[in-house]
Amino acid sequence: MPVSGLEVLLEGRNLVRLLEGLGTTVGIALASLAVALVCGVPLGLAMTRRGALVQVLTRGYVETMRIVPQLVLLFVVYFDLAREGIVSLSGTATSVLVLGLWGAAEMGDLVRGAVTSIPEHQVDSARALGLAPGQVQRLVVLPQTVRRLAPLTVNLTTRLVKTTSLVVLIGVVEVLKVAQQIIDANRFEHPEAAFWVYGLVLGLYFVVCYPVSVLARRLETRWESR
Amino acid sequence: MSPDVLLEHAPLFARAAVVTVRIAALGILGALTVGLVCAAVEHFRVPVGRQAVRAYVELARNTPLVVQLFFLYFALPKVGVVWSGEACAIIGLTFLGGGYMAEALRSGLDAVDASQVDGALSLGMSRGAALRHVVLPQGVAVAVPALTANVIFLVKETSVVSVVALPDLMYVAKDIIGSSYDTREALTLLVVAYLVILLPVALGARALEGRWRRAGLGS
Amino acid sequence: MTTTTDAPVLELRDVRKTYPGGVTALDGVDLTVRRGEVVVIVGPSGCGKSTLLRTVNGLEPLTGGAIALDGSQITGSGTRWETVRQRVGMVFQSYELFNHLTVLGNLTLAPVRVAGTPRAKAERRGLELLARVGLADKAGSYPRELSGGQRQRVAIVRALAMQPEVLLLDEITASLDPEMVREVLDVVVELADNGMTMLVVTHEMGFARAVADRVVLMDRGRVVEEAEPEEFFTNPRSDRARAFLQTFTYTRSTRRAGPDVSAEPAAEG
Repeated sequence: MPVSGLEVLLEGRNLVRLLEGLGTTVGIALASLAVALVCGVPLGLAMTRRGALVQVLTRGYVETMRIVPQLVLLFVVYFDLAREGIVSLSGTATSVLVLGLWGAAEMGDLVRGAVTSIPEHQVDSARALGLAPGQVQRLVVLPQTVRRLAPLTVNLTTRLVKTTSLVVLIGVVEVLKVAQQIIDANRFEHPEAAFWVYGLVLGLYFVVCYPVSVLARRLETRWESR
Repeated sequence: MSPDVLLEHAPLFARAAVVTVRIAALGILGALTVGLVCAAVEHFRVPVGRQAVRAYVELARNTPLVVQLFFLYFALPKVGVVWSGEACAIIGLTFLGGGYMAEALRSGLDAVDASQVDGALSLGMSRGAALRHVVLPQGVAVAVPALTANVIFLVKETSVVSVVALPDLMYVAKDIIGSSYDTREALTLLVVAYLVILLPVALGARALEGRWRRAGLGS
Repeated sequence: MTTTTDAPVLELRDVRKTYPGGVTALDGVDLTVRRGEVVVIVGPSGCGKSTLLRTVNGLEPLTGGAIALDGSQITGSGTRWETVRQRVGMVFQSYELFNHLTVLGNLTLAPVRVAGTPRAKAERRGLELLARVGLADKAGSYPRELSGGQRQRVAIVRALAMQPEVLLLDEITASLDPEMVREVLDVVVELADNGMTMLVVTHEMGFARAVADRVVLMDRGRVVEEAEPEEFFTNPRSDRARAFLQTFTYTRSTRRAGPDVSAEPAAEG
């Protein structure tokens, strides 16, 4: 390929800076995942309750978070609440908050789906064997729920990593921003560097997300075939 | 928040919404086309093509659209491939969505028992007719929930096309926030505009799923 | 039974089928089915009887031997199976109804799309066929709304809608609840009485005895006995046939040596 500029990647700390940027991305994604798990599991369990008020509140939350584009959510919190509102939040904190709360909605729906997908007769037959209600939950319902949930949760992780790429648009310095900076700095000397740098960013995301996707698929097929 | 300011900016958002909808519609159309071809290649285990499709689907599904767009718009021109912002956005959505649509359609086709083809063949149908009249309708029916979820996902993903300098909803919102400081009004209009686009899509998707459930695989 | 003429409709000569993995399903089968004749193939699971049926319809390519339909060979590279299959109908164990179509849609799909019958005519014939099996009121239903017995009756008339010369029935009662077996078998007996040529694979010995003009016992990919039904069931010639028929009579052995069922009550996972 007749493109120069590959050397930009090897100059100075450029490669290290890109990896640090990737670290920021993954860090935000993992912090968001933690928020999503902590808030999403109780949310999902609440969604399996019958009460009308609980239903309206939880469904309303989940549906709202899921229909508005994540970038719009980021904009709303970052430009309104964080700047003019009561709290002052950095771009990174905004990102974790928004992606975490969005992730919680997705997680909640996954938990609800996993719990309700356990057939009623599983509980019935466990009771018929003489298991106490607590044992039914602990020995029969919970293990099956976890098995259904595990691949979906791993999958949500890759979605969170990919969605974290949006935070560059509210000024967080992550891998794409670093890439932009490196390209700008070499604009005159190596105008073609953009090809390699963005190509590498694409590759870095793939290297992070692909193994996680494979893991999700493995978990799914492993537990499906039993 | 002032109603006057809302009214003042509303036409800008209306125009930007047209851009968003156009990009989304063309991107989704492209994604469905690419997805159908890829799903067929995988379902029929076309040698070589199958591996190529697999690689494409994994790449599309394991990288974010923003980065794909940066690559299309800022990197490819360095090797002589220059596309307009709008072309990049549509190609990007097609690339991304094609991977998702391929997965949805492939698992739909795979859900149709191979013995259904036997049933069709035993009546004298050709393989093509069996695919068209028996496997495809049932496979698509199974895939409908995943397909509609993908459609909504892709409309939402359209929100990043401002990075390739397209005057879409996000672009206009950011522009107003940066120039006139009518932040709250701009964000309100932004949310409203997306809801106006997405709610009918979501409701339509639900109606479609209901209608196609009747055509599903049954018990 | 019915009048059978001497003209052979189906002739199988030394039919062989070996799978790429090396498993031999058919090891040289010779069989002739005459016009109006009902030939029932029985045999233990895995004896190759279903495979044999599938080879006649081109769903399973042969690795040796030949099959002729009305005297002309239908196996070989030049075979247009689409044409052959319009003359040889097949009904499957799991019905294979098209779930996205109504009952009538199932009956008219092939006549309209394959045979080029005008839709109105195909629908009229479809309704007649449905009435013949007592399902006229189900024309607008979807397969999933029917019982197993009803589905299988629809599958039979779907095959008949193409007006085949021969009908292949592959264990058509094997997926049915016991109380639904009869309604399906009644349809087959009626077809036999009307002179339909049929090659039938079944596990229902009572049915085989009632409907067959000739019973064929297969084992390990070969025909081991061929006889009139009365003779086959009352006075089988081969040891293999006697052993096979023995499996259908159940006698309680004096001491039960079943599996130990007093294991741990709560199984996890």
